[in-house]
This record gives sequence, C-alpha cells and structure tokens, in this order.
Amino acid sequence: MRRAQLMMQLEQVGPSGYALAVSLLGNTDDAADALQDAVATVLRVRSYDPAQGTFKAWFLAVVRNRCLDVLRQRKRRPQADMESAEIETEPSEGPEALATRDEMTAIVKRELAALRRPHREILILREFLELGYTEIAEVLGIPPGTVMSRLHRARSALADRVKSYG
Amino acid sequence: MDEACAKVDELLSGYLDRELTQKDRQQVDLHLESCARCTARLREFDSLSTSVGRLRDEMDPEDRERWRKVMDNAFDRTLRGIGWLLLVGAVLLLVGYGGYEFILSDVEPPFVKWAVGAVYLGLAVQLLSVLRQRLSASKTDKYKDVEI
Ligand SMILES: [Zn+2]
Repeated sequence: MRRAQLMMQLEQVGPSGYALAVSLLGNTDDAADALQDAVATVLRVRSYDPAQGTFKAWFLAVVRNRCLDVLRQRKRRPQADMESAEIETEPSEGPEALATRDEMTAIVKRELAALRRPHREILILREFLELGYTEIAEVLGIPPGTVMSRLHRARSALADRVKSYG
Repeated sequence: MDEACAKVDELLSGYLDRELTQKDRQQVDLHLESCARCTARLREFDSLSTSVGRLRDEMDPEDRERWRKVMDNAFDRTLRGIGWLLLVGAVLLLVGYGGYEFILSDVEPPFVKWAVGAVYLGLAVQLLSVLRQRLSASKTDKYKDVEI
C-alpha cells in the first residue's frame, strides 16, 4: 500500500484504535503511547494484506497486540498502582458525578471497566466500535464461530453486574 | 431455564446484532412470541448495548483532540526516518564518488592514498557494525512481521 493512502486510512481508523487502547489499558496516557507505537509500526512495516480482512480489523489487531504487551510488562513489575490500573475507571467517579449524570450510563461505564479483559474488549469492539462478527474475529484472532458465544458470555457478565445495583 | 430457553439464550446476542442465519433468526422470533423471560433478556441486552454506545458519544470530543496529537507524532517520526535515510544515502554517494576520484587521480603520492584509504576503511567498518546492531535489534522486534 502506498504511504499516502496508508496515512489516509490510518486517519480514519485512528480514533477506534485509541478507544480500544483506552479500554484495554485503563488510562489515556498509556493508550496514547500504545497507539503511537502501533501507528509507527504500521507505517514502518506496511504488511497489510486485504485478503486477510479489513484494514480496520488489521489495525485494531496491531493496537491490541501492543496493548497486551504493555499489560504483560505491567504484570512483570509488581507495583500496586499498576495492578489496579487495569480495572480502574476514569480518574475519580464520585457520588455526585453518579447523581448528576445519567445514572445507568455511569454504572455501565464502571462495570464495563471492571469486567475481565476478554469480555471487556469484545464488548468494546462490538458496542463501541460497532464491528461485525467477522471483523471481531479478525481483531481477536479467534474463529468467527466463537464470536457470538463469547459476546454472549460478556453481555451476560455485564448484565449480572449491572443488575446487582438493583 | 428450560431447554428451549437455553438454546435461544445463546442466540440472543446474534439476534440483537443481526448476525444470525435466517433459519436461526426465525427460530428466535418464534420462541420470543411465547416466552416472556427471553423477551425480557433481549430487552436487557439491548439497553446495555445502548448504554455502552452512549459511552462512546460521551467520550468523543476530548479524545478527538488527543488522537490528533498521537497521529501527528507518529507521522512526524516516520517523516524524520525518511529524512535521515535521504541524508545518509546522499552522504554515502558523495563520499563514494570522492573516494573514487581520489584513487584515480595522479596528483597525490602513494602513501597519502594509503592513509586516506585506511580512513575510509575505518569509517566503513564503523558503519557496518552500527548497521549490524540495528539489524539484530529489528529482528527481535516482533512487530516487524505482525500477521493476523
Ligand atoms: Zn425463553
């Protein structure tokens, strides 16, 4: 793919990559770093093959790989603040924030962030980035046939958590 | 949950996302007509889906700004890489041409030629060792040939 064309495509999928990185890493600074690495990688290697799926799915897979690396590095450094970073929501969500904003959205946001990573990421890919099942399979590197059942378990898990608020 | 519900439950996600085959879709439709439990569950999934979607709309403005910066940084980095490549290429070309002309010229005494030759050789060895280092570093970079 030509560089100019590649950059144009990146402009389009960039925000999705960023959203995925934020949800995987739990904070915007790490997400920005991871995304920048991913974009630089893509510009350097340019190994996208249209036969393997959409550009968006391919790019998101690169972003995801980078994020998983960052998560692995965090695990290796046994620091308490890093441990909690993965399940952290936005900086601080005080009671008054819950009251003033749409309460349901706030709860969903918090519980989504607290889900296990495989559940959280598939929900982000589907509900946030609105990918189809084929693309989700491409991003996650799993068979298309398993997307529906994993998504189903993820939704059930989120529903159970949200229900606990009554 | 009875057997019919359990069977449909798995399909509700695909139903909501419009990813079912027509046959499965009809099966779910048929079941939903007579099952309040599964209808409620579908509605629950649907409202969750809407809520998560709303998070995205809420997130957008600040992140668009942020995303711009990330993108520009990465692009700058690549452009700088291209710039370096051009520079190094041009310098090598000039140095090579200079050396070639120097060797062919009859003006300098032989020992000067040998000395300058040694300088060139030294530089070449330095360059090669740096290249080798870079190469082995890039081999350990697993993104080099990321494939999905
Ligand atoms: Zn039922």
